[in-house]
Amino acid sequence: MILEISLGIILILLALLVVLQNKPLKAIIISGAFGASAAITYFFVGAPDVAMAEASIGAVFTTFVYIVALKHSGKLKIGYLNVPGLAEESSQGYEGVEYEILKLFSEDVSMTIEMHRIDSLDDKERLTEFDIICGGITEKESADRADFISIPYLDTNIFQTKEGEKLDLVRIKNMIMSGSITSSDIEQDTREITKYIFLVSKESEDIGEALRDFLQNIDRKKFDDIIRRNLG
Amino acid sequence: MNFKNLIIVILTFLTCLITVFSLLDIPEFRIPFEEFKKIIEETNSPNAVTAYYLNYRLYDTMFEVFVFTLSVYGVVFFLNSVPSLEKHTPFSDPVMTFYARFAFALSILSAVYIAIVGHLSPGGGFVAGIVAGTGMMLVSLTKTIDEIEKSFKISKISNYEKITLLVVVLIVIFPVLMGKKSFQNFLPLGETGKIFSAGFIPLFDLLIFLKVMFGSWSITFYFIKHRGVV
Amino acid sequence: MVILVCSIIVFFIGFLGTVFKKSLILKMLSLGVMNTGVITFFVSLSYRSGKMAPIIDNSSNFVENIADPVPQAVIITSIVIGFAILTFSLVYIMLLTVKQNTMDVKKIEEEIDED
Repeated sequence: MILEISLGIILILLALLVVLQNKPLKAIIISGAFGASAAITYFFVGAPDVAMAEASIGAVFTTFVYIVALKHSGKLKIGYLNVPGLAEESSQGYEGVEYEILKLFSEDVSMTIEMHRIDSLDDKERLTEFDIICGGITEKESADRADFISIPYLDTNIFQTKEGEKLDLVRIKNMIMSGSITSSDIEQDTREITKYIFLVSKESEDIGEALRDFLQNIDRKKFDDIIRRNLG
Repeated sequence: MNFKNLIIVILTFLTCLITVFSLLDIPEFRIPFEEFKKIIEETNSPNAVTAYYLNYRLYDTMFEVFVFTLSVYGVVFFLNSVPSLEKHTPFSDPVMTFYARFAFALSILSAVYIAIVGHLSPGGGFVAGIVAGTGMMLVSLTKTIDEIEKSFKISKISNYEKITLLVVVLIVIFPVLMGKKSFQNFLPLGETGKIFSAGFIPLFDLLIFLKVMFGSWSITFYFIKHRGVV
Repeated sequence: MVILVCSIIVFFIGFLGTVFKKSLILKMLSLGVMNTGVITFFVSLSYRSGKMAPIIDNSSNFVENIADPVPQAVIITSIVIGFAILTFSLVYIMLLTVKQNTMDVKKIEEEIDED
């Protein structure tokens, strides 16, 4: 009697755990455990045939099929402006802060990312193809973009050069590193505080919400580590 | 939350509640040992579950095998419309490769054992097929897609799969030619407890084992070919 | 007896998941929970008449409390068939999500309505 009650309680608890999960991968692993505990239950209630079938299918094969099916459950099309340190293509693939954040995000929602290089933000027809646009876009630049939701993730500054061009911190740094301008070209008193953002297309609103949630709950230590590695 | 969903949930909850209360006074019953003995003597298979699903309920089981075949064909058909993966990187660790292949040999061995003693002990064709399929899956993880495809082509799995289904149907209607009813056990019953006994039950166990093994390997192969692993 | 009631509760939990989950893959997992509930129900029906496995050997003259083999024989085939059907529907879900680029049922239905 005690055996029956405990087996039944285990079954109910594991079923509840499977149903209450919101992350598919966790739910799949727990459903494997659920299948195994169901097999034990069948063994104790006098059905060894059914127990063997359930153990081999419910606990092993189904888990494999689910995991393979879960992989690339969708594609995330990303357009990026080539900015070293934020998002750039190198010989080993892609790198940069924004790329790494989006990579983590895509693993979280079990999608694969597809990077497409764009040269400017002016071609509006082309921009609508993408779900997310990144590459050192600041809040100020995006003020007039009605087709996109902007999701801020990092504080930055905008500087003005002597020629009257407004540039953000990372771009200025890259230009100083490459030697095309020097620090004396920057007007010190025109510093504006703003934020780097991701532009998410209005058509894929759910991705935007998921990204906002992801950025709020991201592990700060990991986030700081990514920034330190890429921007110093 | 949707209003329609809420009504459906409440109705299902009430139905479940009624089922639980009606189950509370369900009468107890005992199967008389003589009845049970009669089943075993009639089919000569000590495992009564196998006796049921491969002798008394063979008609049902045959169509279950049909459904299995159809859904495997469905998987193959739909996955063929997905472009196959260009590169597939198998596990290259030698220790892992060795143990995966060792486990493959073990699982095939145990699967054959489970299949041929299905009428004497727990097990049977369905379980054996899945166990062998798991072994195939393990070894598929350690090979490149070309190697798997080569062995898939050389072993002519898809041909055997179709032939297996045909053999099942032929065995089922064979008794008609001998002037008996179809689905009747026409092979000699033999001595209880031996492997070659119980008429066509071991034969069907073996056929279902092959069928399920080929089917589950097809599923694994096409999944890995078109989707890759992990 | 206890497991009989538990199986109905498991079935109901799976049903709730199937109705309220938005992602298709979580819906399929909840359907799997429902399926396991049904299998448990059948197995525990056979348990009413005893908990010895319905397998006897030559030497045994009398065995008490044998489980009923009929519900077990009915449900054992359905496990494998359930797995095959599940794989088939997973492939279909894969194709659907690749095409519509989301797993949310509502979004997919809206996009189908638009076409």
